[in-house]
Amino acid sequence: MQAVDLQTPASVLRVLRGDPATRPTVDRALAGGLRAWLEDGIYDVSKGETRERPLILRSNLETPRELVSIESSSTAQLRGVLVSYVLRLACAQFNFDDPYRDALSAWRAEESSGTLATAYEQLGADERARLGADVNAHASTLLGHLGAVQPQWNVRIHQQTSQRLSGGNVLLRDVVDLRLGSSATTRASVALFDITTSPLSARMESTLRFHALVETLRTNTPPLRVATLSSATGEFWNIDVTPDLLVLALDDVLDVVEQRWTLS
Amino acid sequence: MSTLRHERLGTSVLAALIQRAPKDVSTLSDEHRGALDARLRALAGKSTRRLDAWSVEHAGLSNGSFAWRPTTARRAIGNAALRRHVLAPSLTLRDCVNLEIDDLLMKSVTGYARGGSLAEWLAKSSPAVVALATSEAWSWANSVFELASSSGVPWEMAPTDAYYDVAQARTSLRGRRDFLATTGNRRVVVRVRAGSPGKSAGPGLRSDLVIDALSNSSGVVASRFIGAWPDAGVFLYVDGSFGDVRMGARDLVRTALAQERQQRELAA
Repeated sequence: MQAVDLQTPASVLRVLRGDPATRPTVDRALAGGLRAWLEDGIYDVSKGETRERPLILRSNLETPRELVSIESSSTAQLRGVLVSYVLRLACAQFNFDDPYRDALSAWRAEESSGTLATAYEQLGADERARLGADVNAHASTLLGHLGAVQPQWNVRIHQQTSQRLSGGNVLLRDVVDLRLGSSATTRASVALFDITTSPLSARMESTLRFHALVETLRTNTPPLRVATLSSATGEFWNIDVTPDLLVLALDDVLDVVEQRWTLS
Repeated sequence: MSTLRHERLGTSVLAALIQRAPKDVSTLSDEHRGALDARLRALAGKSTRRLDAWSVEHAGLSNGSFAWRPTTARRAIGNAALRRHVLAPSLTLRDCVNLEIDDLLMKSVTGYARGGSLAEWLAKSSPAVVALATSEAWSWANSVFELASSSGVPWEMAPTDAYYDVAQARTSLRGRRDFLATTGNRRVVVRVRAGSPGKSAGPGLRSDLVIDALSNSSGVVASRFIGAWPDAGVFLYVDGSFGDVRMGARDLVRTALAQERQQRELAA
């Protein structure tokens, strides 16, 4: 188990970047080994069978049933989406007037239709006002701790990635709210950051591990660290990526592949 | 036989793909152009048509109605910012994106933006939407810059996408290209796309290879055309052999035929 930093720093981004002098050298051979290990593990489960549709795994590998109804309510999803837009706008050094209104305007420009857009349209005036107050409260926590984004940090926002395994039988899909750093350097510099509007739970650790694994497989370069901030509680978890952590992530994925191979 | 190949993303992979591109360079003659033009003219309909890699990959289906959004604007703004950054490396990429946005807004204010253009859309958007477009474009520019820099060879941004109009066929071809690496008479073109490649990504890449060659006044075919999907960590590439050019041209003609059939079915 990795140590997590529970103290929320004044600048989350500064912590993510850390001290460049202490960054470890990138082990580029690790990704190949992990991929081979994953492929072998999946083959043991599939016995060489080909699926009609790929088994798609996302960062919330195992969502406990009791949390599904709370987390997937459209208002909670809207809040999560809007707070993620606050982060995207903050990266452009945007001067917020009303974070809720600003994020809403940006989100509607990007997504004018879809399930969530419909859900928003169906909200009454009271519900919208509550959502606005809620988003502004979360945005206040986020903006209070984020810190300034420096232009040389090679920022990517809302990075949507995927990795095909076992000839396309298994598809790992991931979304990271913010990625800093470059995978082309000899010392690890990539930091992955998620903002969540839920309190942090043990489940978040496997989510962070998943982010690290997909990034490693995608770029052949293990990231430096993965982190998450809860805008609900102000908790901040910052985990350094090590080979052990990636092996844990790999075990998580193989466990879920084994559970779900015949079910879906 | 196609030369389409696949590689995983890695720090030295792009450098190897560029440096090991074939030394022999093919050139399209007037006869080659004439043959393609004649086939497309034979399929000319009443309305104008545009063929690109997307339509080839989707069997001639229309891309639907296009609308500017921060994510559809990011490549245009991001690539323009990269061109600016290459010329003035002292400016950060974020500065360059901000300057590009300022230029576009200025174009609209001074009345030089045409209806439906990126400049007009930006000018009509709220400050939050402009900020999101800035973030998206900066993100895109960082992604392309990291990829291009990792190649370890001299590179330049493509001045524009490739365009080729086929006279009397009401057909225009558009090929995407993001950056180029040129050594001697060899030209390697890299096209960056979001998401992951689908099953018909190969034909799409070959059509971009052909359109790039057609748009070249001397008809010189790129010695290698590389498709990069950084989100999926994948490169696909084709060499500029006549075999691949021929296959790419056939795919374009097939797509034009599929579009013509769809239009006829709609009219019936």
